[in-house]
Amino acid sequence: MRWRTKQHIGLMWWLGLSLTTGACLAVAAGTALVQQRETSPPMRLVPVFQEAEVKPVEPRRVLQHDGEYFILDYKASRILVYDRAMKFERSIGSVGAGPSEFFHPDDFVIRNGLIYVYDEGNHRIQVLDLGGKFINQFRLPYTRGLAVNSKGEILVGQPEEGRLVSAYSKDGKLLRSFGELKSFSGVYGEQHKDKDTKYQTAINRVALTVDSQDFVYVTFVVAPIIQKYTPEGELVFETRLRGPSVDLLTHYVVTEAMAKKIVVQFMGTDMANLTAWESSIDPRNGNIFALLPDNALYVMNGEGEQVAIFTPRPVEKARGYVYVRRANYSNAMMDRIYRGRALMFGRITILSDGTTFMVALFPPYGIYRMELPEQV
Amino acid sequence: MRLAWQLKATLTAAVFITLNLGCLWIYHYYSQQGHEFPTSSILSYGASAVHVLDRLGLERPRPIENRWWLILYFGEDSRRWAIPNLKYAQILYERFHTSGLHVVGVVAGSFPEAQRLAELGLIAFPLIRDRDLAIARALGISSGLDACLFVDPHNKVRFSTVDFFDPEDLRQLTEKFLLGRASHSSPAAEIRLQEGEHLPDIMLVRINDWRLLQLDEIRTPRLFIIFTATCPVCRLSGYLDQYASIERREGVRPLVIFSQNFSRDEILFEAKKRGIDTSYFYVAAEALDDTEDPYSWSTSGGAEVLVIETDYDGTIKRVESWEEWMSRWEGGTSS
Repeated sequence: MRWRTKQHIGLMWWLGLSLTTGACLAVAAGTALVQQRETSPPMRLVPVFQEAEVKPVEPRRVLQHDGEYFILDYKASRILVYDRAMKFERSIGSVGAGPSEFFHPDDFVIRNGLIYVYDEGNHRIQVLDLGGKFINQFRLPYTRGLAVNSKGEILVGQPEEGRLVSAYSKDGKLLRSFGELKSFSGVYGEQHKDKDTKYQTAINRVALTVDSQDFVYVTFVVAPIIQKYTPEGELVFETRLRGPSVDLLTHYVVTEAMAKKIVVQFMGTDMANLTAWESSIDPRNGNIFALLPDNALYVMNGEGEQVAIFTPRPVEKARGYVYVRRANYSNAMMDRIYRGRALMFGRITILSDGTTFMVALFPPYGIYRMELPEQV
Repeated sequence: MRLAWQLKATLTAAVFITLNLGCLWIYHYYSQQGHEFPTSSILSYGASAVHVLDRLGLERPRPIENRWWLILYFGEDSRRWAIPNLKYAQILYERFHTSGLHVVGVVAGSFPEAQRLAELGLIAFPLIRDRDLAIARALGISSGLDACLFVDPHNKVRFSTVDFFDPEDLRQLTEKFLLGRASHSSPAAEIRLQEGEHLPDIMLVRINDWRLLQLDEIRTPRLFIIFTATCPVCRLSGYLDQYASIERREGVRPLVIFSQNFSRDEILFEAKKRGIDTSYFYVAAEALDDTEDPYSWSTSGGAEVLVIETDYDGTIKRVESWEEWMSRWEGGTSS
């Protein structure tokens, strides 16, 4: 009996010690994570184009050309043009399948006085002049990633065709392709070998951008990887994004249980998790800004070295409703908490003067100008 | 008895085969943009269409010259949007039939939910079953996908997509082709109606008996709930669930107005399922605003549902969103 009591006391001590140690470790880890997030500088978001006479229904991207702002309106199948003061000037295009008509236009680029539109619903690239006059078009199956270099070559991601990046002429002639396709296990480890076939297309889905010297930046959408290529297509560097945000997002990607809860889906593939939306280059210093789906902004210098990570915070309450979503993979849950009023950004554009626009791709749609506490 | 049954079965089979072969022929030759589309073959399917003006007791329009066809195909793998699209096609059909819109729905394989819509009379346009996927093959639709075609009065296919499309797309395309311009909502705009203004006197259709009347004729209730939606078929169930919860409370008898974007038959059907009294339910018979968004006094992103309190003379005392009103209500501060 006595021996048993001693045994019980020992067991209790052991349990107590284990629990205390576990709790301490958990608190320490949590504090470290919070500190890492808290010490990152906040970004201020200011809603823009709110007072315009005509507003985009579902904006996809904001560009600037000769002082005018161009906004691609996905759901209304049009491009809205505003003056320097963000006052509405004119609308280009309308819904349909004819020349200068669009159906779910997903992305666009303005280069050398021409507008290049990825007209997703009509499966084509359409080229228009700045007045909206039809110039040319060519058919293109579903893609993600659109960039145009100074020669007017159109770059698109085409993993379905077995090519990472393809370059087309304005009339749709395939000029060249570059980049090596990746495998899921190559990115996330040999233990995921069984996913290689299933996610062959998804893992090679990329977003594209070019800088002023035509260097091409390839952002892998479901892998934490950014590559830089010369204008001819030679790899300059490949860098892997690191940090708490990336860890969290990659965790979702490799966890099958979470994958089932994902709301967003890609066309033609059942792989819907994301680790990065896309990147944009700061024209003033060549810094690379990668927009992550938890709204963190990952900043690298031109050599691919990490400069800063900006974490999302509910810093701006426009109309008393707007919040910024953080790791938003439980979309349904977040919608319940925020009653569908939390922002989720998906597009980033940096203008020549450093003005940065971020576009919320899910309700409540909107365009926000990002202001950082200090220039990076 | 046995002979009659055999005769009936033979006739049914003959009609089915004819319909299928007819569709096959039509789609095979005319599904590409710019190709001519026949007028005669598919017109026979329109025979079962119920004209909304007939039901309102209004004069039937002259024979339609500006005839457009909206053809919707729903494959076996894409059922998620099929029912909302079919229901919304009915709304478009009711609104634009007098302007020349004809609608045909085609569903692949077995699709009891769609069949039920037709049986309940919730869609008045013809619904064809592509039992052996012959139409899909003729159209070149990949297995299981949806397709949408618009055919103009000159029998040219003016728009076709084998892709994702929703009721809002159908509305825009229909307006573009039949009115020449698609309207768009303004998601970030403020509520347009202001306190002290007079509630606009619009024409309404009473849901229970199709009676037409002006809003000014109804002055008894002082609380109005205005339901609008860019995707009414996506929103209706949720709206009625919420409405049912307030209807059970004593002392609340608002006048409920649905924008003309909603189907009267579907409102009745869904309300009946929930045991909601529809005596004070109306559907707008005209646009609620003549600005860019023709369906709403407010906006799609801001407030799709408005709650308005007025004086007896129609002067607005308070305008708020449904959520604001509900939170006041749940907090016990609503009158």
